[in-house]
Amino acid sequence: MTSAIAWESLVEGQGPEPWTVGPITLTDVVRYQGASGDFNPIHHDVDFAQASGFTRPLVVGMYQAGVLNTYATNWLGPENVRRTKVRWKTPLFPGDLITCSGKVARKYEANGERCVDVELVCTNQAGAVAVEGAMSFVVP
Amino acid sequence: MSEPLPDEVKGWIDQVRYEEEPEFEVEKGYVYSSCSSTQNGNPLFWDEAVAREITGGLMTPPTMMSVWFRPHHWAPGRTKQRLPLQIHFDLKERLELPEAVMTDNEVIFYAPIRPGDHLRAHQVLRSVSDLKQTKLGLGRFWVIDVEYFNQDGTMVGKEIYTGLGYRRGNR
Repeated sequence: MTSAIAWESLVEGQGPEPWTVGPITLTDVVRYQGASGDFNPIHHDVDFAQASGFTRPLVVGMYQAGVLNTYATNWLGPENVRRTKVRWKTPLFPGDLITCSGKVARKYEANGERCVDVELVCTNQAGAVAVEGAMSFVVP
Repeated sequence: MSEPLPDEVKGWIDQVRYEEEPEFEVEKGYVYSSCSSTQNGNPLFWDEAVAREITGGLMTPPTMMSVWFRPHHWAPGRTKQRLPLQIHFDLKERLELPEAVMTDNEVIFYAPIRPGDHLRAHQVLRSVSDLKQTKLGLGRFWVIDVEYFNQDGTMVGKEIYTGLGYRRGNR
């Protein structure tokens, strides 16, 4: 993390070992809500979640996006991030395991900087894609 | 499904709205809580000496940009609840779409956000789609930009949210 990763070591189609987190607990969700200031009751109130059409509270989407961000920035450094994009595909629920993986999509030079675009994905224990992500980094 | 977009909503598109400052400055406590909850041990968020050497000081995680603008649910003297991303809630109400989810979030970073920074932000509605039938129900997609500036007036980043407001079923 924050290591000066060598440009030459980055290979399109390759990435770090996957990282698995969880099982996520409702306490993890509440902890994240406290940290983020997002207190939407759909994430901790069973009655509210059911009235909204879910069987139970769902995990805050930014939680899994944050874990995916941890995975990517431990690889290429938070100081080097230039752009992130996430798309939520499948909701997660307490009890789910999440696994992050990623690979280099493109290496290129732009405006005198060496850049790398990476593709990221976060899946649950059944292999369903919870979050698709893309990030752009500069590599000093 | 060709219900026209109200003129009032058309008038919001590309207009800078809801210029705001957060209730508190960027601070380490929230950073530590956020990093702890997502198991992020990067020293750029935790170790002042390492961060100073690499980036000139502690910074905040990329995913925290909007956190500084989430109002507390109660504050002394406040009579009306403040909501984050107010345009999103305005659209739900004006378009009578009671349910909503965010489908995409994109963040572009221009400069680090550091503890002690005093930020300000504004929101811009960029587009609203025609009514569409989705798996969740009948609704519209909208795109909202939130642009963030620090105390020097430097734009530190921009978030692009895609939301879906909908009515459950086929109503």
